[in-house]
Amino acid sequence: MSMERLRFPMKLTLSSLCLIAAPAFAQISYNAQIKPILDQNCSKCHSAADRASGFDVSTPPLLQKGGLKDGPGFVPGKPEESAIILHIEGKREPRMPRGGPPLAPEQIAVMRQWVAAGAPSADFIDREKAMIERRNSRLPPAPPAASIDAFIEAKWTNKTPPALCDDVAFLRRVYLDVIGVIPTMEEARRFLSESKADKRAALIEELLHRDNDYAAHWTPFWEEALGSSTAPVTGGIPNHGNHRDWLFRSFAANKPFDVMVAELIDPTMPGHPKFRDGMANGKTLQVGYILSNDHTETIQSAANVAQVFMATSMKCASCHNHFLNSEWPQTRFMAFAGLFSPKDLELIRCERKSNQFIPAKFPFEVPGASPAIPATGDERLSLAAALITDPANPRFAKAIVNRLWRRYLGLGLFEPIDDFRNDRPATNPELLDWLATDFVRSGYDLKHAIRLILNSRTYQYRYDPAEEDHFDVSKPAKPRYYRSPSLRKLTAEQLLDSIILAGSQKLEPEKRVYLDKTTTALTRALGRPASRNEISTARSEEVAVVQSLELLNGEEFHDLVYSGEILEKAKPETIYCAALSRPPSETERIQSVKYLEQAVFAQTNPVGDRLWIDNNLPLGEPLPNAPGVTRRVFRSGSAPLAYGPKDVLFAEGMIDPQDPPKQITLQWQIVGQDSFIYRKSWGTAKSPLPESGKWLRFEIPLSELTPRASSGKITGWAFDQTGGKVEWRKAGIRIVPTNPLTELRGDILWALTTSPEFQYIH
Amino acid sequence: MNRREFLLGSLAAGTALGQQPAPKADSVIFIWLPGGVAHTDTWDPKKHTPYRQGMKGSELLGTCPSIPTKIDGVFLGKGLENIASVLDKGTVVRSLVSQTKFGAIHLKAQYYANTGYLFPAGVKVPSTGAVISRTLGRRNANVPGYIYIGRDIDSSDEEKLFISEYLGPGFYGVNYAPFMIPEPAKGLSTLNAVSGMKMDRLDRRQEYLKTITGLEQKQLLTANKAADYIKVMEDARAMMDSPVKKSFDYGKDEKPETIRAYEPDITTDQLMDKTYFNGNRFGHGLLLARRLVESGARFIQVEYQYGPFKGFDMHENGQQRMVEMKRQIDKPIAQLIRDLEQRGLLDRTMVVIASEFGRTIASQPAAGQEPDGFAERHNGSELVIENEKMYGFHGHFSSCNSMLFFGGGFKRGLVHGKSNPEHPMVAIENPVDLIDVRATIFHALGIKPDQNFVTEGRPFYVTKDGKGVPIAALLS
Repeated sequence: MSMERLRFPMKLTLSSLCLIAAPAFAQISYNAQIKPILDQNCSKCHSAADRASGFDVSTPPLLQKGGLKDGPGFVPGKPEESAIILHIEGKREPRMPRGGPPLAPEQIAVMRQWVAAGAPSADFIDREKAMIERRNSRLPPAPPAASIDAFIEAKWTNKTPPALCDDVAFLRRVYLDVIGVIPTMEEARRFLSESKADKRAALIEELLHRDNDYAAHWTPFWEEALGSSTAPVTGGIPNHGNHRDWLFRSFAANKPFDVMVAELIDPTMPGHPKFRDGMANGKTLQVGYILSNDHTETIQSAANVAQVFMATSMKCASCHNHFLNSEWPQTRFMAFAGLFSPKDLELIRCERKSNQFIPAKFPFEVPGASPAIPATGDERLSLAAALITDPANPRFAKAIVNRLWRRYLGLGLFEPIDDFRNDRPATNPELLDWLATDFVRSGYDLKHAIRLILNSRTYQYRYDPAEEDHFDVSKPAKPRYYRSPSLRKLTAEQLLDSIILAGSQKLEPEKRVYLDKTTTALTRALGRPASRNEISTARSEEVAVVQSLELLNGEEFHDLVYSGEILEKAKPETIYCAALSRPPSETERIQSVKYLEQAVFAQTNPVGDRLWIDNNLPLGEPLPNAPGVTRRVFRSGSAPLAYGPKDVLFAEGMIDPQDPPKQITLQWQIVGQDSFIYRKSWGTAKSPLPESGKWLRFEIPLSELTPRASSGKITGWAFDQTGGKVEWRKAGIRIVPTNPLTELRGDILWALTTSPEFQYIH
Repeated sequence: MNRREFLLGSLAAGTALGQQPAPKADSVIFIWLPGGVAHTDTWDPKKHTPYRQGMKGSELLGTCPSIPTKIDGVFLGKGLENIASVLDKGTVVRSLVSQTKFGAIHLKAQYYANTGYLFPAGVKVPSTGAVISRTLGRRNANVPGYIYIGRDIDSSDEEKLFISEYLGPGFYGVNYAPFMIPEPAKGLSTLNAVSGMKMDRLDRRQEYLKTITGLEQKQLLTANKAADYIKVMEDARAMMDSPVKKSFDYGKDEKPETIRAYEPDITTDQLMDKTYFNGNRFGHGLLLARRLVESGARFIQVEYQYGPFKGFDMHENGQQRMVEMKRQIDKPIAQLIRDLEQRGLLDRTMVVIASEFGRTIASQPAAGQEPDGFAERHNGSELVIENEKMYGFHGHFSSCNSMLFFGGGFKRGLVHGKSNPEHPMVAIENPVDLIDVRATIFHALGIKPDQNFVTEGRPFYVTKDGKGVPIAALLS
């Protein structure tokens, strides 16, 4: 970091500098001496992205606060009681930095002295605070008081206002929109029986305050928009970093959106998610949201930022002048991309080098911004972040309020949402301007903007296919009136989480679908991408046979619906309330009763086996690190085998009466786990070896293995034995017979959750 | 003369650029052998230089003898006798070059081979199967347009997830997603009622769904999207009774000797690496592909499933492992060609065999330690082959590769291009780029290289920037 940049924020802290009393203390500078040590040695594991043990060294207050395990990071004046000192000195395990060489003795000494001196940090530059202060000094004038509805109504040709949606529709809309899942029966009952006039506003408020659920619903959207990935490197390709926790925490705390974006881009922000570098083929690879390992990565990173945060499609201009949008000659884009690289970029036109380097420049006019371009990569990113999030940037606030509008109404004020063009104005430019200015004035408060939209009549109009707007790429100028929201298909996450909630009336936060590392035929058919190697801000809402087949016949969907606990005894009325948040009409009730009656005599669920391994088990091999133990392992021996919570695992084996083993252990590996995590042994005090000399079933109910029983898939099976001889033949899952009525209630729940009323937000 | 002028000049009359070409093929079976097949031991064999301790890399040209084929004067690597016997029905391209050197990164090379775009493309790029099935539509309304055989679906493995994305529909959306058939023997599981469910109950349940839909929320019945949703649900049910379902019953319908003819000529106990054997998955996959073509499928990709350092991704023991891999693919592929020919299907069915790059000797022996570049321009004189483990082609070679085509408008008995007999084994005659090979495939199917679909407000072309040029010399 150069002094050039330090100068301005330093002024902010001059007054506090004067507070430092003893000159001896002032000799150690947090900024010049302590921070570099932390940055170089600690922050890859202990910063906003990856707060190992909950510890974050990004700012003095966070450092002092410490992590989850070890108490405060430091106690001013008391190095012997300060976790960080003890760890770097190796007096407390593990020695830090973990796995690397210890700090140099002089570094340890300076850290110790600093803590002993009371850990003075008056010269700490709080970049976040500085950013907010700067932004607040640059806010636009307050827009005239207005309402969303007035802007919308002003464009109507038909002035008759449409009807508002009923309470059930509102309830589901707002639950799915704010927290991503339908309400429980109790929550629905509470809201529907409420008679206060402002109950809708109260519900919006209540849901916006469910911070973790709100964040859980936002997280997968942004993971895709940022290209967040759970692995640092995939097959030698560096990823954009795993932003999941950072996103979740940012939304849970309702962090100002400009601060969030600045943190993402600007490595000097204390909340910047830093990632451990990746390794591949003996090379170290930079991992992070902005990648600049090579020219392509840099321009892609720049294009991604422009698309996601400025709704500006520049990709075409990365190789040549944009053919369709004269706003974007290639040089204008390359100048922008230069801000994401330590050096100006070479103009490479359609893969032909030109030896012409384009000076970095921000592409939009930001009044008051200095034209100087710094010389280091970090400083350039800092500048890029400042310019992108500047209140005077004409596109930043508009891009995000338009995203919100589309998220809640179905169609953006400008479309396509990632391709804002001067020659293609928004359908209601006045509203877009007003929303954007109001959002900036609120301090980039997302919840403020969301509250405003959800409380509008426009959001609450009844869904009406005759009034619904449509967007047609070939007729971009066709106006949109928003007299009805557009029909929106539930995302994979909304749908599957809501089905779990309907069936069991609860949804454990750690079991929400967005956290699932595994992708399945079902989640993919529902549009959840297998990997986020390319960014995306919108999923296709199409329906397809491959998807319908999963809902009709897929084991995963079947198990999800039919394992609902309410099916044990619920009446059709209850199933309706659980799934659709409303009781059935009389006709609907009669239909469901009829269904149960006509079907009850038919055979429903025959008991059967699902085989995973059939005969031909190869011979086992001794385990190298466990003498006397022989193991036979099967992985991908067959396609993964689905199990439901009530099923029983079995393997058929015969123990040699002449040579019985001491012990037999069966182990299972499931989708999403890299190792065998479930096992059961025979030949132990608890569970003796069974009879020898005949074929027997070794059985284990899945509920015994997974107390919080759920569905999953088996991908590996291991047969271990200590000494002796055992012969094995098939292995698989025994499906336990269920009560036919439970099954038929399952059919009703299936029909309700598969109906358009459940599958769409309307 | 640049590439474009050259190719334009050689285009056969009547297929001028810009015109909709007349289709010569209706279906495609894309045989995908990821891992990087050493072309020097298979489709483009070099002089056999047997193992000798201490031999130089530059001395190692081929690890197997060459065998004659049905095309006079054209040879394949030993172990491919069956394919050699049908080679007169196909075209071998021995000069597929790539300007991009993929180094160690299989996934980028595979992404490129399957989409024609370099990663990262900035857009979710559709794979070849999605492009062809979307552009041409289904051949039979009840038979999926894009079917993928031989790859696991459920996974939390990052590499597999990455692969799933580029084999998918990209921005085309789920309507063009492949129907995944991991195990040919198990068929498309979702065409059968889930275990424990009987057809009559399934139908009653669906009837019930139909009855109750819209009883209360009537407006949903007139909403286009919801109406589509209901219709597609019915299409899915109809597919359960369609001819495609019968295709999966090959175990019942086909003669045992036919099924055996599609099976590999090797068993688990004969393998060096017993943990990585696709068994009959690949061979039966080809049989199933033939049956799917018969029932009206448009595009079927059959993969010998990729695993890092497994299968065709040969580093250590390359020679022995190549012998084994050839025994796994030779019989089934040849049988597919014979079968298609006998049934009169080969003319209208295009069979493509491809891998992400070729292989060469590498300058470093240990797997995973190779520097980027993989000896693209080295002659191997600095490498000493100290033991048999090192005897083989463990370097990735982007500079030259082979690709095979049978039927579907491609010439019969043609070898196009030539590569250097010595290291570096780069193309020395008629080099072709993937973009033009893709344009040629599309051309034979009646698709223009600049066919496009719009995403994010701009057209996205089936060959990169719409600039592929069909190679007339390959087509009959």
